[in-house]
Amino acid sequence: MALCRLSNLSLKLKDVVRTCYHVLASKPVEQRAIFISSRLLWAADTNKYKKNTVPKITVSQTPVLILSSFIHSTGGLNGKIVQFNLSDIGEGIREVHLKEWYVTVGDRVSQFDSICEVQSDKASVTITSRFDGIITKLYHKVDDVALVGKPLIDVELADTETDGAEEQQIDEVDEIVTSDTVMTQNAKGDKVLATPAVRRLALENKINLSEISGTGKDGRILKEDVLRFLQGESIPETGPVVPPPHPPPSAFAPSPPEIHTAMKPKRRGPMVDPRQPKPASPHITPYIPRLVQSHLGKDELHPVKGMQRAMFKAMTKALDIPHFGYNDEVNITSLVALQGQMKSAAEERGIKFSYMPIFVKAASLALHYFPVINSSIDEKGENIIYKASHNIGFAMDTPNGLVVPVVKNVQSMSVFEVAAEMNRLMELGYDNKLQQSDLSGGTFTLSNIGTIGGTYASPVIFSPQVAIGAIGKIQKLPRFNEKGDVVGLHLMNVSWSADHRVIDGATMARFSNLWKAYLESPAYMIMDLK
Amino acid sequence: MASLIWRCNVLLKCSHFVSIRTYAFISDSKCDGSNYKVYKSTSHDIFYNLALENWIYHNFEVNDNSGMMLLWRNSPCVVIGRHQNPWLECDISALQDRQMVIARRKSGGGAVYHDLGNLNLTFVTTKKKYNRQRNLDFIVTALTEKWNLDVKVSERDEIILNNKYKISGTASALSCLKAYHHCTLLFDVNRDELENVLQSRSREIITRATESVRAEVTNLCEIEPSVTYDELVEGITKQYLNFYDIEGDVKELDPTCEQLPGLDLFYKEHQSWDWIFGKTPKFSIRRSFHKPNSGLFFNIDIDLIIDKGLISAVRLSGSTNPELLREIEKCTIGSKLWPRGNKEKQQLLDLGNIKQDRDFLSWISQCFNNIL
Repeated sequence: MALCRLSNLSLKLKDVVRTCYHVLASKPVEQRAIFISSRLLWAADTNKYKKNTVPKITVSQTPVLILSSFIHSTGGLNGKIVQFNLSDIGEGIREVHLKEWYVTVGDRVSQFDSICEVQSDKASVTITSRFDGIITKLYHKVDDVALVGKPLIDVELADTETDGAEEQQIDEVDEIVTSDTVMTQNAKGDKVLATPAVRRLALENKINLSEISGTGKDGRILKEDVLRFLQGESIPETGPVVPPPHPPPSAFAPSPPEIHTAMKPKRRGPMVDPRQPKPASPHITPYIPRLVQSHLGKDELHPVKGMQRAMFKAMTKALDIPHFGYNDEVNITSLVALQGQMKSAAEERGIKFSYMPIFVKAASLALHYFPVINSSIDEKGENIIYKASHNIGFAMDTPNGLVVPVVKNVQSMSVFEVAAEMNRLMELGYDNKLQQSDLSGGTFTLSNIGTIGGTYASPVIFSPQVAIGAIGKIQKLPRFNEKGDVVGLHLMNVSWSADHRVIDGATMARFSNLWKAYLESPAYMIMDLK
Repeated sequence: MASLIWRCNVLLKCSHFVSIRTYAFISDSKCDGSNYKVYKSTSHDIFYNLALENWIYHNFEVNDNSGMMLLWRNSPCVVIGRHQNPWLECDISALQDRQMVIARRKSGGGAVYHDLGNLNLTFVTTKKKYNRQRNLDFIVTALTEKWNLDVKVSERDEIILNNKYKISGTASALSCLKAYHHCTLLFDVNRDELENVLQSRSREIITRATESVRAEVTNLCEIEPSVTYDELVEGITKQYLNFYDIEGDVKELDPTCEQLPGLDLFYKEHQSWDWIFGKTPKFSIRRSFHKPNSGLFFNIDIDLIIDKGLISAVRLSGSTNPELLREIEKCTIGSKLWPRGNKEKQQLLDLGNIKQDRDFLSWISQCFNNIL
């Protein structure tokens, strides 16, 4: 019966049909038919095919019967959508995990093509298609559970037998070819990709397909696109064909409310705020912590990460250091008396006034006399490295957490230069733009915890540094003077921590006394300024 | 016309899977049409053995009266399941230190350590005749009859010795017509190495890849010192052939020089990076790095999404210039996530165009290298 076998695959459909037609030419018209199946192209006379299969297309009065999806999108074929269910895998398996899709919506598949990979009970199962057609829907995302017997994909078949018996008369062979290809010319001459079913839908609803932007593969117009168009919905711009990707497991979720919120004021105020100078104000605006939402009665698990993780590591390392503390009260009444002058001098130069640069510079001056405090210990604990420069870190609170930028070479800077540098670093800190070089290389640290509150603290040393100071708030408090009278003084507390392996108590006390003297009698400081 | 050519490719593809090809070494069948064979691979190369298994799976003549058992073992290596994450299943740097390879098999299940003290058995049948319980019974019967060992098959299709130790793990692969089941049998593996390499260093991975189920394992020879490879092969083969009432013997197959058309393609696939690492199900990882000898809080958080072994999304955050971070992000998208210590890994980040202090960039590069 096979009169013409498809041998030359480069033949155009037109040629194939024409060849078949010529083969049949000798037969009487009513005995001619051309079958096109998925594997073979046959031409046969009508006596040989079953009476109940009604040919859909006739070519010059010769019926052309498309048996399968050989020409899946032949004009006049109406694709029927079937559900492809997950077949029984055996061994009583009821459900599987979908592990990988080999296809996406809009792909053409044929029998035995791999559709997806599922896994159950240590068995990796390759699901292959039982149909020829175009995939119109995937029912699951990767990692979903798929149930045996339930739909896996929808396939739009290209099968004449599923369609109503409807004859389409085509007089010229060439017309088949034009309608065969999925690409057709529209009025404007632009190419539109759509399946015949979609074309028919568009035709029935008098829609020009070129007005619809397809969301299928290569811009193919899907049935959904037409339906959406009909409902007047806007079509997603260049919508992807693939199903929405699995949401990445929380990795890029916006940062959860910071865990350390409670200990971090949300106002942009740092330890020293250049924008809102707070000179010696005994009144500190109370910070109202934001309520941290928690599910009452339920413990929550938060991984230690980010800043907190860095803090965790650095502080664990600091545990190796035997800290000793030394605290004192500093009377900065004279310094406060100079506040007015210093403030206007600073502002003239475009710098916001703060005491912190003075504290930093005073520390540097004192370090000249106690170089061991500006040292560090090498990794093995064999050598003490006396640092050549005074690189003084100051802790600042930023919207991104606590950072410790470093003012380099304080020993060769004026107070004004220190202030300008601190201003610069703080500006960068607010904008989260501190460079790595701004944060590294510290040899000594001062933390002005007083801007938040408190008097004394127990600061923890940053390894490999060997000392740190924490400055409390400035308060006006009553004290006895030399005459035994009670006077109001501006007092500030300082808390030092030092590495007792390197620094003994007496050294630290002397250093503290010197620093204190600079601040209590600015004249001393002026004398020592370099 | 395009559709014609496309169709042609599909036809060829189908024939590859369903055509009944018969190769000389598996052709002779009994008069009743039944055909059961036992083969033993002479190669100890995991990639050749997986390729051989796969080749047989695809080319073995399918009918309900035929089957094949392939016995094989490998030099030290780690074999992970089809849908697993290698970084999560084993310590890749430890593997590299030992010059061990990692392989991804086609079947499901978990990660296993292989060495010459581990016998692998593959049972190829039609999907209809696929039966893991029956296959495991060959082994259990052999062990009971020959050495009178207390072994039974668990609900997870593992073979359990003395009600406690796992000595065999199972996995399988099925397609529309054929199936294979394979299992391991630990008789004398280096258990210290097994412990050492099946440890992950990458606990921060978030994934839905199949995770291995840890079990306490032991070696058959630790309970019964007379168990050897040859004895096992002989005993299990006997059970297999007896079951199908066939006389025969184990035949040797050398996947490295046998004329098996197409085997080299399977071999190439199995040892390719795209298969071993590229097939890792999408996962994400987040880690923080603290730069030593820098300000206390100088650190970088790296968030990565890795799809097909490539960095598909990256997000850096840290206390430094965000524009610099965005620039680094751009440079890293699409990079391969190399196993730690791989030479080529040093070139993971091409940050040459970024103007920033070298020391900093090389540190960032290190962070990416060490993220897994």
